[in-house]
Amino acid sequence: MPSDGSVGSIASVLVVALAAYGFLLHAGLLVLTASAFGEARVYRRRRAFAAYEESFGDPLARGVSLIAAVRDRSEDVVDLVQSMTSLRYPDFEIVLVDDGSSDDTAQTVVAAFDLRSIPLLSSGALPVRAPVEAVWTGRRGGVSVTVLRKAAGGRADAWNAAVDVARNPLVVVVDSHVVLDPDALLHVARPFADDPQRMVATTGVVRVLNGCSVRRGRVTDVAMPPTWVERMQVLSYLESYLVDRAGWSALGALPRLSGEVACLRRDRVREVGGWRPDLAEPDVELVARLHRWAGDNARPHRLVFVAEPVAWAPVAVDRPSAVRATARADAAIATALREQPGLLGRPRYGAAGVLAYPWLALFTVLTPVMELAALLLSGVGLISLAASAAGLVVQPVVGWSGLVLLALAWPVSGVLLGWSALLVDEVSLSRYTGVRALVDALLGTVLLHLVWRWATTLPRLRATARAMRGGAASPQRSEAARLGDLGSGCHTGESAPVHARRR
Amino acid sequence: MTSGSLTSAPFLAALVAAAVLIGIGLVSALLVMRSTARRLATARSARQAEVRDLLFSALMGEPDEAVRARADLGRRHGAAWSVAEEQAFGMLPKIKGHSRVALVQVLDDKGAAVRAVEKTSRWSWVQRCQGAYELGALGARDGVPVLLPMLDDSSFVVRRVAVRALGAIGEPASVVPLLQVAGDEPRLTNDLVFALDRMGLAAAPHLRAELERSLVQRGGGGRQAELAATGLGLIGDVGCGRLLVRALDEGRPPLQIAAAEALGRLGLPEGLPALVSALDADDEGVKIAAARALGELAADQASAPLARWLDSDHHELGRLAAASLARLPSGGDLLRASGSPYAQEALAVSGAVA
Repeated sequence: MPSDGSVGSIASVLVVALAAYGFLLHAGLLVLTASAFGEARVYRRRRAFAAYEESFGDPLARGVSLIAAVRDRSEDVVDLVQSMTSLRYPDFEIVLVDDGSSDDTAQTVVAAFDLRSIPLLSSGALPVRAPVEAVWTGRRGGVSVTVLRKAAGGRADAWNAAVDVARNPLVVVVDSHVVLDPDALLHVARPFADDPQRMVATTGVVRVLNGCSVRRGRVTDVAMPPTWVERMQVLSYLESYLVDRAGWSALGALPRLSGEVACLRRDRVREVGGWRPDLAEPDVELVARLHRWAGDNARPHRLVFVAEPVAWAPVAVDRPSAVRATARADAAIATALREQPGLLGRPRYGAAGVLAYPWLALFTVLTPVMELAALLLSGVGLISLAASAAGLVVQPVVGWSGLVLLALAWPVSGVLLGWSALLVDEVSLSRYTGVRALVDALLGTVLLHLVWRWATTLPRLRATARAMRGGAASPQRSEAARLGDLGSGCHTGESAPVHARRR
Repeated sequence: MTSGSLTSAPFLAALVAAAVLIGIGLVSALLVMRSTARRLATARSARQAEVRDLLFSALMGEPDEAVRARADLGRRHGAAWSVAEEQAFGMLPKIKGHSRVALVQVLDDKGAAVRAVEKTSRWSWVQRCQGAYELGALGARDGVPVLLPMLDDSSFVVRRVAVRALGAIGEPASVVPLLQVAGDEPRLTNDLVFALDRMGLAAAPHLRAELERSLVQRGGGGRQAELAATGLGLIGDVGCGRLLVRALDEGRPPLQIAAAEALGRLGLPEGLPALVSALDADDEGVKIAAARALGELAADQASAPLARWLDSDHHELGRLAAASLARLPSGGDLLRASGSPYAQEALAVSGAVA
């Protein structure tokens, strides 16, 4: 490699170090992809004999409390609750939390479902910072519906309040913007029937709603969204669920569930103290605490990713909102690591302690730093190459060979990994049909790793650094930003984004 | 390896070539899979539709149609028969009576039972599952000796399918081995429930015997006794009330919980005194199970004991007592008269608010 004294030597060492990091990162992800592939294959073969279709009639099925927090949704909240009541599950209730709406969201549901006011029945077992102002309950068909109206406190506060009044042994927390698959509850609750003593939490495959057709709260036709910003998020979700979550689940070390749908044992949530209402991104931290609690108390436990579609989530349609959403996901991991550093590298916490959390620390929290360094070094290399070609310097700081090595370690490896994830999807759960959609996905993967990754490096770095310092936005502000990003021209009266086609 | 060798031209060229080859391989595989997926699915659907028509004709067609269809099925060999056999086994659990007998006959004539037994000893767990499933679907009692050893199979899925297959056959002699395997492996509890449900009251004598034996020999407990109590409740054995009451009185807490739940599910009034006593048990789970069961009995005699818990500090029990009271004929009045928040919630949930 060309070098110019000590600067060149330092640059060449940096190139090799950054390339090694990139290769290691993608090799690790490839291992996760392979384990996800193996798991998906076994799951598909096992499915034929697992009698999953009989879960609906299971007399011992554990009751589920379906929990969702809403804010300023008076226009579509009735549709939302109605679509929830039509889910397939033998025994479930709905607990809806109006988290500080400025409109009449709670009253709309109360009137539509003829609910009755009751006193708050709090056990006080979970931290709820913003006070619950009113509770209503009633019944729609075979499903009990409870509405809590409380001051704005963020998702964690709302979920804690709901879990506290929930009546069933399993709680399924859902983002109120997602469209649930009709069998979502059956899918996420099934592992609890399979392994009732050890199972602590489950999640399933969440896909992007944008571009799909929605009818009466159900996805009826699946298609790629129209813009590249959305398509890249489709692929990002694919990698996040079918590589990351499926891979770690297969290794018995699932470090995060899903912000969109997660099923948890209510008693375990209570035992660990629920979601932390003081954290802006509490999801991953709760999972870390569940692992920690189980390890500290020597309780065998399992957290499982179910390779079944459970929900369709809207994603931001504009670039700034999409960037913020990406940064928030990294911040959630950084928050968990900051709050639970004792998990790192401790065999007591099983594969999660030895593998998953060290991996997240090394290859998620640190990745934006490495990406930025690689980006800067590549930029300097290109400029020095141009200067060298123009005769302004004798030798470039980073030569072509260094740039090729960096390209192979980062965007090229990323693209190949993304295409591998597409292959896992194709053999397991693919819902997209037609060669055109595949070509879009292939090109989207290229854009994701060639453009999007680098465009989000700085925001992810900033969000991660803020989270590590403990200086993230307050839960209320974070929640407002999250809802704002989804709400920027994203929703219609049918709980579906404008880029989802209504019928 | 030095930094120089990592950035040497031959090494980089090899890496680039490998990346290009992998990329081409992945894209080609994806394109082939996607472009052929629909065609393969269409062809499969067409084959299945043809076989389905044939099977329906063989089972439900006019006599001459049925004869022709069975002859057609009889002439099929190799892949053509495999498609038909797969579909026939898919239909078996969904049909009953004469049609089922006829379909089993068609499968027997083609040696399906022999092949199923042969599959149960294969190396592949998928094949063993398939064999066990097919034996269960055929419902032949001579499949029981083949399936019982499969309860110890190294693969969990095979054990699960074997439990369900034994349930589908419905041979009561398999109840005790099933209780043993599910007792050792809680993951099979739901499958045992399925199996007992399929056996129905034929399983009752064995379940009762197991429960009695556990009460005498194991000092009032054991997981098999819990499963037996649960099973008695699920299959609707209304003659086992005294035994369940004894289990509730003498058993350890897990058995007491199972017995209370079974008494509630069966709705046996003879369980009332024991369930009322269980409201004062030391174990929280027993109290909760008893409160729930009293609600299921819906007997007014339970109203006073349940009403005691309405003002309890125990959140779960207070709630459950109120919910159970709401199911009692006189419970609504009691709840309306109570100032307890649990009472108000129960009234709202049951829709009994005046």
